[in-house]
Amino acid sequence: MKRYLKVWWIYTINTLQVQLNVARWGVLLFLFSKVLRFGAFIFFLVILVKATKVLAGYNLDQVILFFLTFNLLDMTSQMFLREVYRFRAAIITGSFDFYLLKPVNPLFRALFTGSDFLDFITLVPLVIAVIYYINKLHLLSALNLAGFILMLLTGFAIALSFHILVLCLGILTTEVDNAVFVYRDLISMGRVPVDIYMEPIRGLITFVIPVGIMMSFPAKALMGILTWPLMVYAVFLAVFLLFTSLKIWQFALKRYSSASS
Amino acid sequence: MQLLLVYFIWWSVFQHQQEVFGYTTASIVTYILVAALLRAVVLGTRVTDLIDKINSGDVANFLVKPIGFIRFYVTREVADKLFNIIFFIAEVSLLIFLLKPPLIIQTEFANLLLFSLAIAGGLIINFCLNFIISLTAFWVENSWGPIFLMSILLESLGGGLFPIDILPKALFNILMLTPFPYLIYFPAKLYLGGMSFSEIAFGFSVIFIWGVILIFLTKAVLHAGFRHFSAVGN
Repeated sequence: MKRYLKVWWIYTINTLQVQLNVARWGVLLFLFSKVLRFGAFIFFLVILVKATKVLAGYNLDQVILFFLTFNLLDMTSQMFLREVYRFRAAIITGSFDFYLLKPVNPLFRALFTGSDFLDFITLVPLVIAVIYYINKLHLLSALNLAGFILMLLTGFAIALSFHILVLCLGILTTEVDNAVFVYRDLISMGRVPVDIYMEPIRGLITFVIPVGIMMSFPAKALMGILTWPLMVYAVFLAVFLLFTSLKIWQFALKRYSSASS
Repeated sequence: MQLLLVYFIWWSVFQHQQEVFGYTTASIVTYILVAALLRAVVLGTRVTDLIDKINSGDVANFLVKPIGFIRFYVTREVADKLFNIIFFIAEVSLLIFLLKPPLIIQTEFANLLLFSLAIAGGLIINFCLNFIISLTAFWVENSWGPIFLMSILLESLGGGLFPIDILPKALFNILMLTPFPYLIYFPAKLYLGGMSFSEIAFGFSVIFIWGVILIFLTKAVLHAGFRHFSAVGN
């Protein structure tokens, strides 16, 4: 574990150095754009919910909390799992061979070694905003917080499973980018409480494609409106997805044929 | 998915109200679908491939071929947009079939003509903006940052997420001086109808001015980029 943390740290620092030395302005613009996108959507929600008073039964502060939770989970998974976005190049150039030769787990190498430290900058104000809204909505109770953290971890486990499945798809078909876009498109539906969607779409994005579990369950747990059976279901689903994705990873690895000469 | 997200946010709003910000259910749903069409037709672009061509040096191949550089990319854009329209029709047909939303079908010839003209203007502006930003790859290591910023500006402030006339008046007036609302918001509003003559005249004037400036800039930046460019190897 300690060795892997050290490897992760070295890779993260290297990624940061490349970003700051090679594409400093581009990276800063990316960062600025993300903040702008975040601000524009919050602005839209504020204008909309101020006029309508509620959205799907939630008041403005609650809707913002849903959006903040979505961002917290999305940014954390993007920050840690950024290397997946570069996996296609490793497959089509054959450099994935080197992942297999090194004394580091190739799955760890493919998932975690491109962590984007700059995302951490946006994560700090986000956490502060979540704490502010927890305080404002008087949600500070040990049980609610425990449920919130459990559901965040569950959401991250589901995101991790999706990313592992994308890697498997990359090995089997060399297709990564479009799968990532589909994933990002799907989870973007969780920017607002899934209660806004009509049935059967709501059921579909909660229980089949678990966007609702990933993005809406943490905020609902924090508000104390998520029942224990649903929490247990979410944890079991996350464990099942993680286990299945790891099995598929083993399957895909056995079918990897190098693209190099 | 973006279409579903925006659709259901508004659908949820109109569950309890008849009119919000001057929009009825039918007008906002029509706006969302027209905005989705414009996103596919106007915003969808492959011009940004140019960044990789410049970074890899492949752009040198164009210099020895008897084809116009800008014309090549314009032709490719047209083909790509036709492709996008096919996908849009499939996507929206499914949505209309499943959700059966109330829609406004515009039948006024004048509105449809103005809508088409605004789309043409938006296409020129979007092509030039993306082309110019992509050409910065001649000078900088990474042009994807500005491209990403522009896509966010277009989506957020151009009317992709919501009609920008729901914003405070002062902010709305400032935005209408930028090129961004003329790619989605302005054509979509023309489709819906109900704009005054002065609003339409002002909108087309801004499109014309931005169009002229951007076409001039596109040619100037391309010329400067090629003068700056050097290539080695085979």
